[in-house]
Amino acid sequence: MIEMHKLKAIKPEIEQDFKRADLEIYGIDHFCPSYSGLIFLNCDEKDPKKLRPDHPDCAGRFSVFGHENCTGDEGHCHMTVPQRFDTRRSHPLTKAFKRVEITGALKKALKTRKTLQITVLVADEEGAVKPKKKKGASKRKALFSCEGLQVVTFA
Amino acid sequence: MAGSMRYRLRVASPTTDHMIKFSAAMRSIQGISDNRSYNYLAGIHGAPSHYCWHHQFSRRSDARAQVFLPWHRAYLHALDLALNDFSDDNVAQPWWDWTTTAGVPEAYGATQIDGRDNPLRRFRMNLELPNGSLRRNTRRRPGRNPFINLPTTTELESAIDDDDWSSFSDRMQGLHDDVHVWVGGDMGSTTAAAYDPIFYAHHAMVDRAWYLWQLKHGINNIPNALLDFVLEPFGVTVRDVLDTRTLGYEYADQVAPAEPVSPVLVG
Repeated sequence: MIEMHKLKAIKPEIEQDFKRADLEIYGIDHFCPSYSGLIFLNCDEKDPKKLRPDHPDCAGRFSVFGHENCTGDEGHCHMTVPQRFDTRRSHPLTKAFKRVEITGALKKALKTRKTLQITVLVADEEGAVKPKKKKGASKRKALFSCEGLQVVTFA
Repeated sequence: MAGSMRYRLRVASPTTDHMIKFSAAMRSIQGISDNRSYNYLAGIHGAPSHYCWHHQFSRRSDARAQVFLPWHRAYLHALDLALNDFSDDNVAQPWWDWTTTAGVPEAYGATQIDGRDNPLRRFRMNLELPNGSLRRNTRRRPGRNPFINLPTTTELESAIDDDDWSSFSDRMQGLHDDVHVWVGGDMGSTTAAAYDPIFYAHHAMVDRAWYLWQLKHGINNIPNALLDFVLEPFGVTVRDVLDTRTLGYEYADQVAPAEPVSPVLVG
């Protein structure tokens, strides 16, 4: 399966002379099969089949080592929020954090445009483009799901 | 020699001395079913025990309880000890250098070795779970994901050059995730990954990267807040696993044993 996530364009106020730039992805849900993701910046290509790691707008990659299925009783994989006096470690499905270095790609993307659009393309081990859903088919959970992304630059 | 330092060597041809000894010990622990068994140890990481440490945090520690590397070091050490309970050869697990190997190494892919089933190719999981039993051989689907290749030497060296513990740990976890996804099949699931014998060769490579990082940036180079953090269920703290020599092993390229001879008395 391949999924394409095109994020809303942002207007970052970034000085061009930064030394390093990272894309931080936080709150990643990993209760899913493992997958890899490619990050594209200001990429106008609409066909996911044409987007691969060697595409000129590809900024980097990340992988998510997924938990896949629940092997416990009912409620085993329901995330619980630690309460007062609970010193146990957090739930194994605690959301993940990923950092992808995008220094060169960000400089390139901001040379020609003032806006930044991030595209995240993810593939599981099948790697086939997800077929269009038939009417009435049950909704399949997306592989890639996170609470937020942010671009961080370092002077 | 039981009791002496163990040297973890590169994964090599299945007929090399250290691979023969390692495979024999793996076959032994795969053939039993009690709490010294491979099945039991594999169940510590994912199902049914789920002790593995990847993204969790703990109120007992600040510094994000970033113990991915220490936890897995303690885990591999537990396997080392179990293997040596069944061997007099001072067995050390090998490391799979995925930066220089084009795919799954022959020692882990061959169906048979010396006319017997290869214990490093797969393992028959034996699990009783609430939603049914899981009794089947582990599976791999290497190289199927179109977006991922095995990490390169440049990527690994860049991570080892990073002098910040937190950043190094994140980057190693990233490369580690790449390999899990690349191997695919059960290795692509935190629940089942540790049942596949190649899991340990992969993690020995990750642990070796931390060992090389420590040689470069300092053995004790880790936030103080993590030092007394207990790595469950092994009963050791992060402090206990910082120096591999105190655990009885190091990473080496080669070990050339010399045959003992009778002393020649001179004079």
